[in-house]
Amino acid sequence: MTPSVPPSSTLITIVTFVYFGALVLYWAGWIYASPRLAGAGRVAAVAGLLGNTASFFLRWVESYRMGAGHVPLSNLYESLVIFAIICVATLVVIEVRYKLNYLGALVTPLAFFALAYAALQSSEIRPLIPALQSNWLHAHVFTAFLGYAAFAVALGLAVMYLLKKRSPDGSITSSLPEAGVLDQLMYQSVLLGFLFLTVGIITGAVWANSAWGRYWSWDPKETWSLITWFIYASLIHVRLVKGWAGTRTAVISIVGFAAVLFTWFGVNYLSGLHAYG
Amino acid sequence: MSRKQESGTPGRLVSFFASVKLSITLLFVLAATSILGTVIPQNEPARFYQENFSEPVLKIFTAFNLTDMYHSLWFTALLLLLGVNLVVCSLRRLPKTWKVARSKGAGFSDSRFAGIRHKEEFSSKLPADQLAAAAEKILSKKFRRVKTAQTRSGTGLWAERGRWSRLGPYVIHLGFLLTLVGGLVGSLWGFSGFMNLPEGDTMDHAFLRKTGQAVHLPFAIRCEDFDVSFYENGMPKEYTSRLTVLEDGKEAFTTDIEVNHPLRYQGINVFQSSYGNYLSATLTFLNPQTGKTWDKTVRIREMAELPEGAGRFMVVDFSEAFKHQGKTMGPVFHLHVFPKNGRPTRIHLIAGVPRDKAPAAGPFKVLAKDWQQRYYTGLQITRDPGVGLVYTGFALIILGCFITFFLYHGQVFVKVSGNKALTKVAVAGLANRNQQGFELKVRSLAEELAEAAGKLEKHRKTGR
Repeated sequence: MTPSVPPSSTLITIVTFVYFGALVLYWAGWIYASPRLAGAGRVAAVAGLLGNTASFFLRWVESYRMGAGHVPLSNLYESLVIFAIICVATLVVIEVRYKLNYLGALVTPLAFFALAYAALQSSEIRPLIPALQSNWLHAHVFTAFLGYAAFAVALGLAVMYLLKKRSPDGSITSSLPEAGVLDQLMYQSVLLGFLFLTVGIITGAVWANSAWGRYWSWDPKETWSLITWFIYASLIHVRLVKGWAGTRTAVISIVGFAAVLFTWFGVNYLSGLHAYG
Repeated sequence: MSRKQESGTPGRLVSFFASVKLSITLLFVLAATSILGTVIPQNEPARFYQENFSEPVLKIFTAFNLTDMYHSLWFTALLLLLGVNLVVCSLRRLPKTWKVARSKGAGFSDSRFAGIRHKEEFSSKLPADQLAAAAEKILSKKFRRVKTAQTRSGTGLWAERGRWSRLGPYVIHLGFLLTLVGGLVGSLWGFSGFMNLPEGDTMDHAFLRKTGQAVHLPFAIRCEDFDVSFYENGMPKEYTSRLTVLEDGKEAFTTDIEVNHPLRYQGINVFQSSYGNYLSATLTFLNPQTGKTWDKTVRIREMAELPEGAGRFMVVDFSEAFKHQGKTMGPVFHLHVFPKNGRPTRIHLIAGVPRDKAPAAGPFKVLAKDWQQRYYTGLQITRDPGVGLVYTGFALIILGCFITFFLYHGQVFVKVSGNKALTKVAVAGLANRNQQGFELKVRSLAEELAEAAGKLEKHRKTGR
């Protein structure tokens, strides 16, 4: 079988450029304090999101046409695509709901980099090996990536908070919401991420128990997801019990996202059960 | 939060275990040390470490059991310490929270109302009692519990929601604790083993992964058939074993297992884990003196008896296309022969070699008559009495997270006061979490009240 580029991947290439356009518009809007430019960025982000989501379903259909039908949540390429979808969707919801203009400047780059990195991966649709043939696959991957995306948004908010805190009336920070609002939103994103990371870890454990007879094997990916969980659990506890907020929790949030990235990518350089991405 | 300083050793010990500082330190230490085990390969054979690490490093590995660190004493102790910390912490805080969660609600008081900084206010020409009644009606629609109180300065209304959600963190902690306990129960009273079961064979014991020790099962398993199917591109599609369970030698039932579809029976779980080939060969032994022949069917790497009690032999290896000095010799069996009289020898038995060129195995000549590759199925056999606890823990953790992150205890205070000419209404909210979100709700509630008051006022005017 020769590897061929499925049409959904061509669509992803286009979406990558759309996200780049959104990124440029958001940054221009932020730097020139123009909510209209940032609004155009949001329109571009929504357009990209539609294409991104369409490509997800298209790939799903393609897999059935190839006789290897499965929800496209089974390898690194597909994980990058779903991450971009959830990331941008969360961004748009938060921006609209909390009337923020420039959060996209820090979140669209993540979606853009995710898809640009996906372009370096094999986009070939491959059938599922026996271990992956489980309904837990969908629940596990989807919730894990909901968690990752919420943490990504929290990262964007944490960075914004630190910028705002450093110079509240600087040229690019004066247009940002108050530091207190950013701090609170960052914390809420962390809570959302923590909930989904927890569900992601638990569904993974239940799945592992039905596939291998062990719900926990301390394989590198499991361990790193637990490390990530510990870090965000500390953040929540210092905030609730010790009253930490602001800079300190923002820094923990950034450290936490570094752990997310390692759980996601770094672990591929170590050996383990998640070798398929 | 204020805390009494306990005196005496037991008190100080309790204080130590009850401190949140300890929990946070433990979370950080666990996160940091867990990294080690993802960098240092775990549970490899001793030779692997000797080849890849220097002597001083190996000493450190041995001292801290870093080659199996997640099961080391110190790591288990850290987890247990976190568990104890969790219990002591939660038990200490629980009575206070429980009291709040169970209390019928404090109701309205001027001092509590005055303590809330942010208030939404409006005024109306309606009399105070009519406004208070309208407010009560609206509050009752939105909140389950509403209380009205007369204070010196006017009428106070109070309503609340989500009081029980204050118990959310305890639900998470209980879940986490059950997960830890379940893990402990599993490691103490459970086992994890494997069984390589050739097609057609029956076994009633598994071998422990760690020690290789045999564990007897309450039933025997026979592998009727093993099958592996492939996709067009050669990737494996499914591994299936057809297994028959035998109890006291009698067939109980037959079932198929696949990856992700294990057999669970009498507390024992049987998983499709791997598979492999093994060789079954029929060899002909010929006594050159008497001309007598024997056929022996043997499996690879299994010791077998030579005919006439002349000793033992084993097929140690088999090559489909053996190469010797650049020439392909065809299928070749590698045998170790242990004659009763004489030294052990190693021989290469080329399939199809003529009788006169057959190699000697002790006093016999040996020939390959027939052979076939057969499958064995690799089964993972486990027993884990802790799984129920762990899964209950999982459910509680998720439930607790939902309660804690999405619900909150919100209280609304409405004060209606004033003279005959003008009635003043002030609305304030208090939440244990999500204060900002609740303030938005309080604001829209105040707007709704003002709107209702406006309508009543208009109604009164036109009514007259």
